[in-house]
Amino acid sequence: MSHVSEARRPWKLGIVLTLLFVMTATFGPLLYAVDPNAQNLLSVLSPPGAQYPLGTDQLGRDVLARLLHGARYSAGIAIAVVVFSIALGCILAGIAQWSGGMISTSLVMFSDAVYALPGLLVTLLLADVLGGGAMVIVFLLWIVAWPEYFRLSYSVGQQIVKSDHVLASRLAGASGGRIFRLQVLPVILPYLLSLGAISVGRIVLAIATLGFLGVGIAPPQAEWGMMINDLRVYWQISPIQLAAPVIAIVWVVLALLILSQSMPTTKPGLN
Amino acid sequence: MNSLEARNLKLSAGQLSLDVPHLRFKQGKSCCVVGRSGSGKSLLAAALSGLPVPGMAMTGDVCLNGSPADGPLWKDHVFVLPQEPALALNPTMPVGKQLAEVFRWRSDHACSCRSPGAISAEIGLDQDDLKKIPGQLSGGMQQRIMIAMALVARASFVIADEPTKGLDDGNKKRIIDLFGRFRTSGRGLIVITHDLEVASALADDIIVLGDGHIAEQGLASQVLTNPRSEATRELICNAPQNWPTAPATPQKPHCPVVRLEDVTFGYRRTTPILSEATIEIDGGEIVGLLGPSGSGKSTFGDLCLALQKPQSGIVQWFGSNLNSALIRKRRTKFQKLFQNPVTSFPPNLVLRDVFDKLTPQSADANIKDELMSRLGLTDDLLLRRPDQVSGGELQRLAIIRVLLAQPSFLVCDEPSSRLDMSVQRLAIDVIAEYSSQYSSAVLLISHNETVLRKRANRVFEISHEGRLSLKSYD
Repeated sequence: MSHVSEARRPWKLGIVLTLLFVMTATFGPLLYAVDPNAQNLLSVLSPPGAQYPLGTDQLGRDVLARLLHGARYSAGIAIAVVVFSIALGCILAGIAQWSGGMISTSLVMFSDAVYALPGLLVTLLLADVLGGGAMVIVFLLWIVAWPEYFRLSYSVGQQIVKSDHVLASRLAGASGGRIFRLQVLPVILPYLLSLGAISVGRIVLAIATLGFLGVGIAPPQAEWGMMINDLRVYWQISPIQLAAPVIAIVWVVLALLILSQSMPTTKPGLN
Repeated sequence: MNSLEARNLKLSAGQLSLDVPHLRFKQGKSCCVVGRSGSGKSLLAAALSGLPVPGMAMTGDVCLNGSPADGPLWKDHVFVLPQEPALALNPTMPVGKQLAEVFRWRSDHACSCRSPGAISAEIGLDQDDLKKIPGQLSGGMQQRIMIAMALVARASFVIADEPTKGLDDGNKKRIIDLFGRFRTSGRGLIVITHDLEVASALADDIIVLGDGHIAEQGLASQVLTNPRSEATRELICNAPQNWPTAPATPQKPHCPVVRLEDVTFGYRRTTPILSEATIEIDGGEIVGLLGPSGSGKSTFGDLCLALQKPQSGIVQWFGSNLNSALIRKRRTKFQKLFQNPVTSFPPNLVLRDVFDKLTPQSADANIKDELMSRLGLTDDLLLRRPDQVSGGELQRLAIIRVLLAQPSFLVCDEPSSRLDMSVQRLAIDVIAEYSSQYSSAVLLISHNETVLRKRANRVFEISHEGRLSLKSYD
């Protein structure tokens, strides 16, 4: 990897975009204190103006307020699911690599089995049994999402664990945890974060699907996927209202992607 | 008769630089460029072929038949055999197809052989080998495929960069024989090497590079027997056949550090790569291990280090049978020095972190500083990453790292076979010194018999059938 490409990585842009999103999700609803669920049937689908900065939806609800409130739910749940999945996948892959033999084989088989299940259907079924709510949704999406991260960390980690430099450290008496922290994690984490950033968008849509089917986060709770679904039929009349949640999702995915790509994989040395 | 000329070449890349006032290569002659690593040999090859290495700056002219070349010469006039054939071949395509591509796009109409089959017989590969992808062939076979391509390609000059790097003696001989064909086919051959054996076998003329300039040039017989420059003398004196023999070690009390009894091992049950090996290695003793590539030399080392479990037989450390408690207790006392220094350091860490956090901390803090100055290394190297230091420096750091563990038993798996002879000699001498000082046992694995004869107390050989036998030299 050349030094030019490292220097050119737009890590500042990634940090700015991410910070902006976090600030908006945290303080936005406090600063723009409009009830996201208040309907005003007299101004349905009204274009952006002084009263409604981003216009209203088909029930006359303030799109900006819904967007700000939805940020906590949609992006919050998606990021939580990704973080939990990376942690679980990574830990299990570490166990599988380190112990080898039967434990490794059975973990790989178990993860393949989970991966083979249609994730959304399983979530749907269990959500119906367990009842909705944000915590349940996070848990359910987590248990179907981790195998992806497991497989990635397992295969990338395999090359590292088999390498001479890990063997050299083992011979030098370094503990498994230390080798993992210094030699394995810094290499695989960028891969995992890139995958995670991309799947944030997918999870937002999965949450919307669940909401649409009446499990998970129930309407009228503001939530980006549901907003897109509601407004999609009015795209000719109110393109800006539809574009707002779409751009929000793109924003979050892009911010996380840039941030994950600009993670330094190596410590800088002298030139 | 074509000729290739370099006029007023000034080359530089990073810390390397090379100044060539004038050089002339003739077709039908073979010329070897020798020099220590870092003397700019590869820069010269890059300039002559027109395939610049990244970050290379060049002024001056490369002339073909007396006039400056228009366009890079690799297109029609020069064929380059790069350093690592494995990287030059397409890893996903059968080698026969890759050879056929050369026939199709770049064949030399004067070449007498008209099919990939004919040429592969000439280089000693059969039809089945041609259906394999490069990963299924040995390093020597890959190099022969590259030579076959060079033989059929339209080019008046062939430049080979370290063609025998990492090959055992048998493969080396074959490559040298094949290179004779370039001369008989009327091409000019330019071989870059640090191995004087190769140079004396191949070269009509020799060019010796030393620290950025041409130290000496002339007929091979003259330069090698009657060197005039310091650089040449240093090269000749570091060639293994000219190493001073190690002083005979005084007889030490018999205390085996590692003992193997009737050990059999194979990755597949039917074909053991090691069968019924019995050996005792005493403290303070250097045991050499010889054998063709792929004969299981490294596996033998791993068995001694308890990194592999034998299928049958007994492995003992300090006289007691191996068990997991013993291995855990003595792990850091049984060390390995890897063949390739680049892969034995984590690529993502600064070297100081490796020494501070991933190396046993010895009680005596001075040992590291002593070794560093003994091996001619400075502390600021530790602030760099492995890719920012040279291979020779990295191998010396690897030696320091294993010696800091103060091992009772050290396996050196072809230490620095990919580096030049001066580093190799320094490496082996430092290890030998350590071994006699701390009476630790050393297993020195090499395919270079001369090195082992000069430095080992006893030399064992592994045959293709996996038999271990003691070699006697009288």
